[in-house]
Amino acid sequence: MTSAPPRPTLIPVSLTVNGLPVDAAVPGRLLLADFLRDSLGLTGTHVGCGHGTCGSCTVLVDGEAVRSCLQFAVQLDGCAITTVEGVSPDGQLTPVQQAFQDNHGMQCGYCTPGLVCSLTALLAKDPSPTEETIVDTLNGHLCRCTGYQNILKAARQAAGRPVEEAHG
Amino acid sequence: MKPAAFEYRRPTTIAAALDDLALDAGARVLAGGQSLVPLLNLRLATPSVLVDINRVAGLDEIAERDGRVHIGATARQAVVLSSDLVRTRVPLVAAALARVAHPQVRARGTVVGNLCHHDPASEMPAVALALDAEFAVVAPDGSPSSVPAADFFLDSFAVAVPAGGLVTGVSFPVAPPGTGAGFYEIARKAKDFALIAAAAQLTVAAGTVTEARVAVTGLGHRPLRMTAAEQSLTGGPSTAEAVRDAARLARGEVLAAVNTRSPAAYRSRVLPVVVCRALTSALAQLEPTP
Ligand SMILES: Cc1cc2nc3c(=O)[nH]c(=O)nc-3n(C[C@H](O)[C@H](O)[C@H](O)COP(=O)(O)OP(=O)(O)OC[C@H]3O[C@@H](n4cnc5c(N)ncnc54)[C@H](O)[C@@H]3O)c2cc1C
Repeated sequence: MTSAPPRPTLIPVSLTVNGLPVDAAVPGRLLLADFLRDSLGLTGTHVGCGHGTCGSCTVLVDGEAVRSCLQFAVQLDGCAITTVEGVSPDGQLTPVQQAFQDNHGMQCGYCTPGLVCSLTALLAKDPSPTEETIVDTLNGHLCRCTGYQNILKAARQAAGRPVEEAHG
Repeated sequence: MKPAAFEYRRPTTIAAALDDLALDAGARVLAGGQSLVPLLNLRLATPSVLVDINRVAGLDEIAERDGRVHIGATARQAVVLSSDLVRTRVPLVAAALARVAHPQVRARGTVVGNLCHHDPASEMPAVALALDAEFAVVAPDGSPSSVPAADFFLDSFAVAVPAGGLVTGVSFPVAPPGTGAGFYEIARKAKDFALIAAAAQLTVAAGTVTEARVAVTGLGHRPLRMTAAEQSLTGGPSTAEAVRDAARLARGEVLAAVNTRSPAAYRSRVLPVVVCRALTSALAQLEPTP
């Protein structure tokens, strides 16, 4: 006779997701990315590499852009999470989203939600970032379609910079 | 990719953290999680207990005391990097930290966790060694000790923290007046781990170098201090020529095994160049800006 595997211990968490309170009981090992996608159905957060390299799963935690595949849901007790579904509460495109549309800052769109979250966090803190700061932020994301030039243009537009940067 | 199951603990005091670490030999500290969680997701690490220290009170300090800047175990890299105290009092820390990872990773990752992880291609261990950083280590029985950087980095991914113990903070000496700091790194992409990198700090009084500190990461299983280069500079003139001569003395055993992406012959070849560039940028900081 084999004994049943031990039931995972569930830990209570209370957090805010896109402005709404969420109370849940989660196993310690549940990643924030999986909690958002599988428990809450917020599938706008995309999981690419699953180990912190690609940035696709980036969400805002208390206003800061972080990788949701490198946090456990249980760690976010008391925190406010914003996913790509929540960056525009009124259903309109935000300036960041509009800039992606205007500049065709995507090809397959897989990396887009993470980029939108990162740039949203950046511009909330620093509404007129330098080119260097923009590039530093974009560096934290991989676009496997290599559509980087249009992503950079979208970021410049959202930051109020000339979209075509002069060379040199 | 899902981590294997573990018991999650979230202590709020150091004493409670030590109790939680004592639950099992497979217990491990979780700080920013930016190195550990990838290992868990890939199941390269399967700790039985994770002791999340992020809510331990008082560990997030960034403060100057007794001539040193103290950085607590939960101080985030992003916060340390943007701290005026760090930028002005320990400029070498800021120069190197700007090369560590991306803003989204630095928002969570800690300086202490980065040093405890001790990836042999990591930038900050060279800074810790060059500046004679001191690690505040707490043993499982709660007794504190101070471990100098020269004794802290034991091997790739191995540091002098006893099993069941933890690091509560690291401190760096405040740069004396007349100090310039320089960090130079060769990496395959921006903000990637180093293939090789040098950290340098020069203190100059009336055109004479009074103190030179140089260390390099990426050569072997530990960061290396470039003692011959330091000695050749100390007491001599603070000139570009002296820096070039000193950089030629940069030596160290270069191991193939630590970095499969860059042959040992390449790293040996560029070692003096990297040291020269780090020293040159330290020197440039000392030049009066027009
Ligand atoms: C995309 C990406 C790029 C990166 N690029 C770089 C880079 O260029 N250079 C670089 O150096 N790093 C890089 N990193 C790693 C990053 O800097 C990590 O934040 C850092 O290495 C670990 O710090 P942490 O706070 O996240 O620690 P954790 O991941 O939480 O812990 C790391 C290890 O240290 C131990 N530990 C942590 N804190 C303590 C403590 N107080 N006492 C005892 N043990 C402790 C843990 O048990 C674990 O073994 C990168 C990470 C990612 C995801």
